[in-house]
Amino acid sequence: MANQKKDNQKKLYIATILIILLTILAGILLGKKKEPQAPDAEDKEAVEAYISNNITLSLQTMEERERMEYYVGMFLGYIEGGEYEKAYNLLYEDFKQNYFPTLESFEQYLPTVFSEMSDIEHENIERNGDIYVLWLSITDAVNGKPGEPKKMNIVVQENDYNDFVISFSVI
Amino acid sequence: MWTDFRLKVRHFLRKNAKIIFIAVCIWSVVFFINLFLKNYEAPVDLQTTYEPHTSVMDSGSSVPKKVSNRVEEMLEEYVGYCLEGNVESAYGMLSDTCKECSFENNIDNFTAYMINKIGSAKRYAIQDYSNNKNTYIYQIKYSEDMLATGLTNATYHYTEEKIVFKKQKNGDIEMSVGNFVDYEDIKNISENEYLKVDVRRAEKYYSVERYVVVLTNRSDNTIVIADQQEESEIFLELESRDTRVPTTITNLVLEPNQSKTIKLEFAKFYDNENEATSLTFGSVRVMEQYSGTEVDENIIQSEIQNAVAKFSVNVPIKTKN
Repeated sequence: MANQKKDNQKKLYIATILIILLTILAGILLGKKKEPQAPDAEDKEAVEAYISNNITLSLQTMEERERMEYYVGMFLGYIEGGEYEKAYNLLYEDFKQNYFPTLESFEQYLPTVFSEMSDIEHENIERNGDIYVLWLSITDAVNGKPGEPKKMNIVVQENDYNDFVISFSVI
Repeated sequence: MWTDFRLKVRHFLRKNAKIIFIAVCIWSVVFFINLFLKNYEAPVDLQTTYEPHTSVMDSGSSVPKKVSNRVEEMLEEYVGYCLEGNVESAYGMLSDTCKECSFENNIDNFTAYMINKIGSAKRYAIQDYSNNKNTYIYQIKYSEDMLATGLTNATYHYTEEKIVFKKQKNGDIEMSVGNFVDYEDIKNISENEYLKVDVRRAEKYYSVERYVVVLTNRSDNTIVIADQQEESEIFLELESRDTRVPTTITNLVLEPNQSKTIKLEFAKFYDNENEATSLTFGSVRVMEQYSGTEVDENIIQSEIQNAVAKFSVNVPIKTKN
């Protein structure tokens, strides 16, 4: 009887020590929060995902208006940088069907409004439900006459951070 | 001394082995939970200022989830009917009081209203505007599909109305459009030998109150109630002692023994708790001779001075929201 009690106590000690060791080991292995590692520069997909994640994190710190202006800047940045397909992919589907059914038609239109370098001034923003309407003034930064900026509306719907669709007044 | 210490520790461990085991287990569980929470990245919800079911007038007041879900369903159904031109179904969704007060139980009146309000709109946005007990007032903005056009060759434009949802005692929700909120029977009468004023009911819209009044001339003379020649001809008095004049200029003349039913409209917000207390006709003139207001000023004044009687009528109309 006394031996059995001793045995049980021994088992209890061993179990306690094992639990302590396991807990400490888990703490060492899992305790450090994994920071996202910069991907290999040659892995384009990983680089894009890394950048997209950083943009999302940055957008989470912004107010609504800042985010809308950021999206507009992103769209116009693609155009200025000649990444027309990326800009085209941001367009709202029905807007595409109405005005630019193909990427080529979009590419043909762009030079008539946007120059290689444009000055963008945000004049106003309104929210109507989950739709945002922005009023922009666009000037050709290289050749434009300061007194003649083009006025344009841009309409944005934000589904989530860094997930949005866009359309604009075709002028 | 060392042996003594060892013995004490061993004695302590033997005596408290179970308690120590339980304490270590609890510590371990807490440790793992803490570890999990430290590493857990909660999904970040999109933060916007758009809160469709939180009142604009009082940001601390929200529509209960059960009601807001039903509101969204009803609006989708109603606007859907309107956009597809199914007027009968849209009209059928309205409360009986709304049909009576806003559209005189005439579907053609509703059709005209709907075309004017919604027209060719493709989208709508909802916003809880004001809540009062079981009454939820939403602002609805109708607009074209701005995303599909990008506002090409168009300006930013929308029409809006207040749509009111009232939760009934049986849990049903009644819907009223066109800013109509409620109506209340008043049936207060004030009369003398010349004039009987019967205030029948108050129709409450979001920003105005309309009073249905039956006026009866009991005399053989003309009775002038309002023709813009006297001060305070018609006004509504509020609890705060503020007064409101009708929103439209009203000329009100009763021929001998004539009876007229009129609607008088006063600016008053439904969610303003400053209730109306009485309706006053402040300068009623019983005239033997009345030539109207398109005559010489001297004639007008002379006729007023020769009036058979001049009095004011005050009808209490205190209502409860």
